Amino acid sequence: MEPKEVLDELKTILTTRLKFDPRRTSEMTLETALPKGVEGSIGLDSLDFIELSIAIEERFGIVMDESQDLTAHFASFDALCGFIVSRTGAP
Amino acid sequence: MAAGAITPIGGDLDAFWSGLVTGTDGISRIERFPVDDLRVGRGGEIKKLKVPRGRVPGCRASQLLLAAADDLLARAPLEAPADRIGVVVGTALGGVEELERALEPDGRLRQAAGALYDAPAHALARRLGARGPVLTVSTACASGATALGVAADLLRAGQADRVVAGGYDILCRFVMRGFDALRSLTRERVRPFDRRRSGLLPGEGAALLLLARDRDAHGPRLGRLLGHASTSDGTHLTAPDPDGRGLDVAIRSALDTAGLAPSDIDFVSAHGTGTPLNDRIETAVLKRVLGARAGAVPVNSIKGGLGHTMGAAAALEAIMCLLASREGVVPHTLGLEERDPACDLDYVMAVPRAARPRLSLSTSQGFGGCNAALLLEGAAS
Amino acid sequence: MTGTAVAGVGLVTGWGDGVSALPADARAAAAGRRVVALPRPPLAGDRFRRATRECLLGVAAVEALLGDAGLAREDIRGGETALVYVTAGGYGAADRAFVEGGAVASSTLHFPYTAPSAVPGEVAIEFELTGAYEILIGGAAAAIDALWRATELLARGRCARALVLAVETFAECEDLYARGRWLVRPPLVESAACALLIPGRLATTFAPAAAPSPLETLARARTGETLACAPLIALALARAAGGADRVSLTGEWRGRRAGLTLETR
Repeated sequence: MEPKEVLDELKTILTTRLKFDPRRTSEMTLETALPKGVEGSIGLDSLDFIELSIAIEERFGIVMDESQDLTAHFASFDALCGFIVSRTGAP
Repeated sequence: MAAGAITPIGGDLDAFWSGLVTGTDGISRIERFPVDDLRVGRGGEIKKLKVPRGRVPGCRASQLLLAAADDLLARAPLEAPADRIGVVVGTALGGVEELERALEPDGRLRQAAGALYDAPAHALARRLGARGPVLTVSTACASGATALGVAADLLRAGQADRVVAGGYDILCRFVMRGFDALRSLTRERVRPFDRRRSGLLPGEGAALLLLARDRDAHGPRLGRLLGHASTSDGTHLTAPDPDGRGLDVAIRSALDTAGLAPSDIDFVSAHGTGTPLNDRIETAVLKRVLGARAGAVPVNSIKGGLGHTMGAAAALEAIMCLLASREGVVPHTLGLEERDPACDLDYVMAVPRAARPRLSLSTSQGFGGCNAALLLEGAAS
Repeated sequence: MTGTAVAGVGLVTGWGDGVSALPADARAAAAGRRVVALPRPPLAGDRFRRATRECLLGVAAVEALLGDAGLAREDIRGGETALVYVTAGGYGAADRAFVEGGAVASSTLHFPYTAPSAVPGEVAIEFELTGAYEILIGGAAAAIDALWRATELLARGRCARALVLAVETFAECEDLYARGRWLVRPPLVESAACALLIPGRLATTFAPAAAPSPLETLARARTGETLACAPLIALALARAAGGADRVSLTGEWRGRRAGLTLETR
């Protein structure tokens, strides 16, 4: 999958699962920061990240290893798309 | 004055205590309802629930509460007129299973009344013939502690002469699905303060104490409740405040109301759920509050063998503190084998410890930023 | 000062905002409706995206209180403000959605909102409340107990002021409440109310009550069935009428009627 396609899927997840207003999600770009506490971010907290991880697992068929620290992959849409593409890429 | 209980490690108070000191593991594969579709299907399930005799509601939560009440009444009579007997119980989920049943495709719609979270408390009041104040407290997993505090205040305010107080919660699909969705369940063991800890497991149970004002208490007593406080974090809906500020305030408030200082604490019964976050934050709070003595005060968590019994937890832990004083033994923290370097208090591990705490601190936390602290004094031996 | 005074009451109901929106006769105004519902408050910002309607109603009640008492958010922020929350069934909608809802509602984000503590939890976060905190479950009698808890916390010096908050919604569980006709009488009117208690001159009294106070009867006549919100609505009605500086509140639930007298300013 291309990062742009992944981004669109993630935006759908943000609207349907994380309950963001669709106008908000349409404004988000690859550069948008995700975690709460980062300036300009969309303010996701730990609960949101669990929901997001589960939705990603279900939508993209990948498995998140709970024992690993995945924080870096969730810093921005860019990082997250890259992570998802790398896990779903052809072997 | 006296207590009664029903738990995954023992069906009455004596069996509960015996289970604690023998390190009984009450965690098992859940059998009462389907769990195959869940990532984790284990918890502290009470396998053999002897439904109390007489007119008893079909609701499991009420049955647990009544079983604990029967255990209590077998040990101590209420000795007060009906309108002077109060009931205060804490619960996180109340009769939610009644709601599940009412909503089943083939289920009859039952009375809304049975699904409301305070229904079991009223079933208990009817069983006891209590016509004084009947309250249900729901500060999530701190409910049992808040309930005991409110009960003490009812007595102090002269609103009742005896109060039966404590907490309960049941294992049901609702709670298993919920904690599963939060990814807070461990697929392994519950290991409070252990460096390998990976989450909690829910449990079920009910625990009740008979409270009376000091001057009205006759005969043998388990101890005294000297202070209590319930406070708010105001930071996050499920995660505790990162600095544990709400718990810190609860402990200090409880000490203030009792006219005591941190240096008076001999033993801490921690909330110790076994989640990476809770145990670390709770340890940090205890170190701050206990100060220089922190390394010398024994600490335990009994959630390893019971699971997290939610509304019952704080009541069971309060009973454990008082029994520890009476028996001169502090139960160990089942599941703790390799201490987390960041959790460096004097946890009682591996085997029970010979010790007779005079003053115990019991701490609890719950969703919605709930924090509670109880100060319990053991009866003089 | 060992007494307690009421310094304000905020109220939103299915009839509208505040006491002035209440009809003279709720049963007649309901015109056969079993439930008079409140819409989801249009609170702006991502912060409330996942909160349930009940949580937002709790926030709206506190906002209404600030307006009524002439206070700003800074005046209640912090560890000196106690929060006592009471509800009989304000978690029902979230519970039902979790049980019935399928993948989306039965999710990580939803489960925490099924706890009764979700409403006061969101209120505490929104208004930065870090003081004493208690939650009671039950109808009008439990709200009297909640008011009593607030007076105790003030008397013991555990807080400088206390918010007593009640939220009840019925729409999502209308069919279940219909089965409980012996417990709740229509019209069921969704409400959220918050009272502010501060130290006062007149001592409060808390005791069982043999009969409904005139205010309890008035609140029911003008609002309908509001369960835990009823005593707070009665308080709002008393304040709107002016005159008396001592009010007698009563509330009944599952066969127990509790009573509390309070000073009001």
